[in-house]
Amino acid sequence: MRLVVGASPHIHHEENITIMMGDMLVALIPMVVMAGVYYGMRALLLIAISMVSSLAFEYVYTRIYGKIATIGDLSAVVTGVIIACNLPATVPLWFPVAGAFFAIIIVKQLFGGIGRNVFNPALAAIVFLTVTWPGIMSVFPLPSKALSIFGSQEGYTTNETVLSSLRQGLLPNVSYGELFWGSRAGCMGTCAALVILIAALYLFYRRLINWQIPVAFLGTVALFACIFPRTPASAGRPAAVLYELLSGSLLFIALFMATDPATGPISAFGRLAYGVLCGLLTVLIRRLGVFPEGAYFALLLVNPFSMPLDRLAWKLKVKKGELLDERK
Amino acid sequence: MNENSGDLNEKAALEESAQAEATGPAEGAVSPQAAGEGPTASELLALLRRGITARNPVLVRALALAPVLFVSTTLKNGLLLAGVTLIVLILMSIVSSLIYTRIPAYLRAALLTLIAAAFVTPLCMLSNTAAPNVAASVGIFLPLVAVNGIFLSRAEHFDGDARLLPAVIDGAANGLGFALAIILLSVIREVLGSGMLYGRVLPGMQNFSFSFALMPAGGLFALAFLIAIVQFARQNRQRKEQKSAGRDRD
Repeated sequence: MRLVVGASPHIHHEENITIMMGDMLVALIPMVVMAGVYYGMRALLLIAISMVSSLAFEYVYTRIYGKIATIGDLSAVVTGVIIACNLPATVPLWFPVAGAFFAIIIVKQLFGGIGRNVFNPALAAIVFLTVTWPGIMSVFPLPSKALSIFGSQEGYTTNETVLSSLRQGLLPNVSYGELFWGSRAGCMGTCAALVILIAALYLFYRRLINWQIPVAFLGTVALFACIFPRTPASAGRPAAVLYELLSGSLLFIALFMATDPATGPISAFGRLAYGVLCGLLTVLIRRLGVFPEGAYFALLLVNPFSMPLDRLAWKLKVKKGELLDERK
Repeated sequence: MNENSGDLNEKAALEESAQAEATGPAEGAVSPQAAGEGPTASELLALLRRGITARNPVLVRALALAPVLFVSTTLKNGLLLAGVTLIVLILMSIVSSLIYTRIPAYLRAALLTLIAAAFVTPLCMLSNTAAPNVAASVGIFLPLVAVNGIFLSRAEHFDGDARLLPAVIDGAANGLGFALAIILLSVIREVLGSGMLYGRVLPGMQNFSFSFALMPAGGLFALAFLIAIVQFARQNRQRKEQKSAGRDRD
């Protein structure tokens, strides 16, 4: 007998990809709004460039290779918005174009198109931009509307983020309110913790994301922050946990990127193990790695393990003699 | 040494005939043991071409990928490694075609590696004095030519029952194929990565830098694209040959 594995997600559902991606876009709108509020027209321009270039690359590739046109399913738009959300507002205007090219052409289409990609395209694009132009990707502006729309952004950049303070063992110079509202130096759309949580609740209500991956991911990071705090001892352990969880883009990555249905596992055990692996690697890379935000690299490293983890979950189930009922 | 034919001989002969079917008509087949008379010049030429193109050690058979990926960041590095590998491959093909079937099977790999190390060591010393900077940046992969996968695979599949001349030609062809791959890759990566070629800044690319090309990940991508292009060309050619064969039958 010949078994053919179709492209994931392997779940029958009345909805189709367009509706899923439309929901995803609705959930991403608050991030775009926050980016516009904090960084003005510059941020909106970068997001627009990212969306349009993602769509354009998708269209050109499917056109050249005579494939079914997939620009209508909105997945390229979602990829574009997620890439832009994870950029600092001071990047040059061609930056999202480079990211979109890498995401759509190399990571998504060359691996076979939507659902067949091993790596999350937006995530791979961010990692590609980070390792290729580390100087541009590691300086962040403080939220201010004074960013010039088309010019260079020399005067507004700062190297000091919550992550860099944590790395030096200092108490970050940011209040909890600023952390929750996102008015701190960081990526355009991934700082406002409260907004991200509300958008994620909407996605969870629409059953687009699962709870296992984010809970295991964030829980592992929180556990390590609690046991080995990076803030000074006088600040107390709750502060260490909060700063570790709400710094960088961790919340956005755990809720919006780790839960990607195409690259994540589908069994409950697989999802929990996937999240724990992500969390462990995040902690290790944040502490010992070169780049401050380890969550991107951690998730990219764990992405290819989603299929083996599902297989492991299946084996464990069979050993217990239970039926294979993943969806309850 | 053609008398020592055994299972290995048959295996190699089968492989060669399969190869001949894929590449050309049967009478042009490159047989390592042309019984009686020596190989003709056209056979040797076909052997040379085959090692560089259809059985390129890096781009088709995916051997010795680690040194290729690590070293091919600049053209100087690539040229040094290509030169050393080419010389060692030629010398090793002489040695292994002379002694391969005379040593017991369990000793072959170890003994050949030892002999290769004896060839590589003086070449390492030579390049350390002639071009110390380049040799330093090639680093551990220069002595590691001694455990290169290419000549072990060649000794196993070709030299064992080949005459001296075809073995040397095949060794040189494999060396040239390796050199072609690593030089192509290092030109691509050096130009893209730093805007330079052979250590000189290219005109109009003074401030150009795309450091991703110099990283191992970028090297893998570049190699993957090269292999994809080679496979595309091979498939095109096979399709064309099938078409023309079909026409002949009609």
